[in-house]
Amino acid sequence: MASAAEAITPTRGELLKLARRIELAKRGHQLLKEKRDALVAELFDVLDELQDAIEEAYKRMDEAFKELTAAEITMGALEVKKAALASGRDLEVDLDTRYIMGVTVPIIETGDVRRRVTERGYGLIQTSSKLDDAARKFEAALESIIKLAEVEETAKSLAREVEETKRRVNSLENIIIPQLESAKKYIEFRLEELERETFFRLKRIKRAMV
Amino acid sequence: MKIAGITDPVTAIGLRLAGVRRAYEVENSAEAGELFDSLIKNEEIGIIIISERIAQDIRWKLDRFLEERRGVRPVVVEIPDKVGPIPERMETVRKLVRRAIGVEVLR
Amino acid sequence: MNNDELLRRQLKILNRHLPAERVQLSELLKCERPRVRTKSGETHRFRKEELRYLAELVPKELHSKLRLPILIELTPQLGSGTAKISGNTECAVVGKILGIKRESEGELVLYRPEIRALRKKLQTTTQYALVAGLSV
Repeated sequence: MASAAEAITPTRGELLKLARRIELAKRGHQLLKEKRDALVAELFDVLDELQDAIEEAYKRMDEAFKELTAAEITMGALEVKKAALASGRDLEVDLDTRYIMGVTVPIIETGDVRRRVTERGYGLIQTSSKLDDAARKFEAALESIIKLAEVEETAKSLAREVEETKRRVNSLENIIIPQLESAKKYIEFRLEELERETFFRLKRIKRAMV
Repeated sequence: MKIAGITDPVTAIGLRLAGVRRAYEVENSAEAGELFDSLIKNEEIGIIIISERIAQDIRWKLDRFLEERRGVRPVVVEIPDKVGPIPERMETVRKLVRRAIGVEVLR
Repeated sequence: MNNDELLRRQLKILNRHLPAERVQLSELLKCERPRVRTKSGETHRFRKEELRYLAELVPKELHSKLRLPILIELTPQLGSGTAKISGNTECAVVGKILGIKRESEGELVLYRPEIRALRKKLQTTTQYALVAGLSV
């Protein structure tokens, strides 16, 4: 637009138009800055949640794997595997969307992930209580994995939107508004120049007429 | 919607014990990639749980999918296996955050 | 097109995620999948846990007065990072959660740390709106 400045005809009308565009760009800039600030605050909070969610899920997975090993020692790996195959329910999750500012993020609601012993589906007699411990630990782990899924996707989407909004704020701040302002200055300067020329011409004409 | 798992055999047992019937064990990255492709097409699947080490093997596929995904389904989440978490786990998030905020903010 | 019109358009785009219509808490509590439609035709889902929290916080007779999501109206004219809550019930609820009591004439002005505290408590039952005064 700097080169466009020369293409602009230096008239009062153009000057007015430019002043309006600058005003608009500044207001747009202000709004985007509000959006950016709110999104950054949201992102910071989600990142806190994310780190907690990762720690929690990892700790629970670790505990669950340990219980599983213990169960395999007591019952034998094959029996554990058989019981696992028998214990499958097809857990229902309710995946939906919610909005943070303009950003779509997932929201996941589940019924009870944790079950009672009798709900687990494998026969009680041939299995040891060790298996129940393992199942309980994996249910707890699954609960935190689902939470992690939601929080991590949210953090990623927010981060992308923050980046995009920052880009737009910066381009208004560093490119668009300065360009409009220099175009405005250019017209003001040209108009003054023209006025001065006209003034002197008139003076000369007057003098010639006297 | 349902949960599906793409994991090693041990994790698959764990997920089944937790009540995820569709816990599939894969042998190699080709199998993992094929399974992933079919799961993302399945509208019944809301969450895909994938072992970190397997995710690393098909990273390009995951990245492309997340780039092109419209909407939020399916949500993809990576979990550690029996050996424990991989150090690269946080790198993807870190990269995004660094680009967004400009500084390192994760603990 | 004049500036006000252009600004109005930009605001419309920035606020696409706002609900087409806000729904009463009493109605949402009855829903299996409590949600509202956004202006852009998408879905905004409420967490049941939050609805239950609000149901306990708000006296029963006000459940039909409280409409969700509560709008956090970011109003840069009041200063950057400042927002407004409108409506008597909404102000009372937000005031109670934040432990502040300074609403006047159905309006409550919030500052940045308060907005953040509120958003932490009510992630799905509040929503940001961008408000800009038109015409200088």
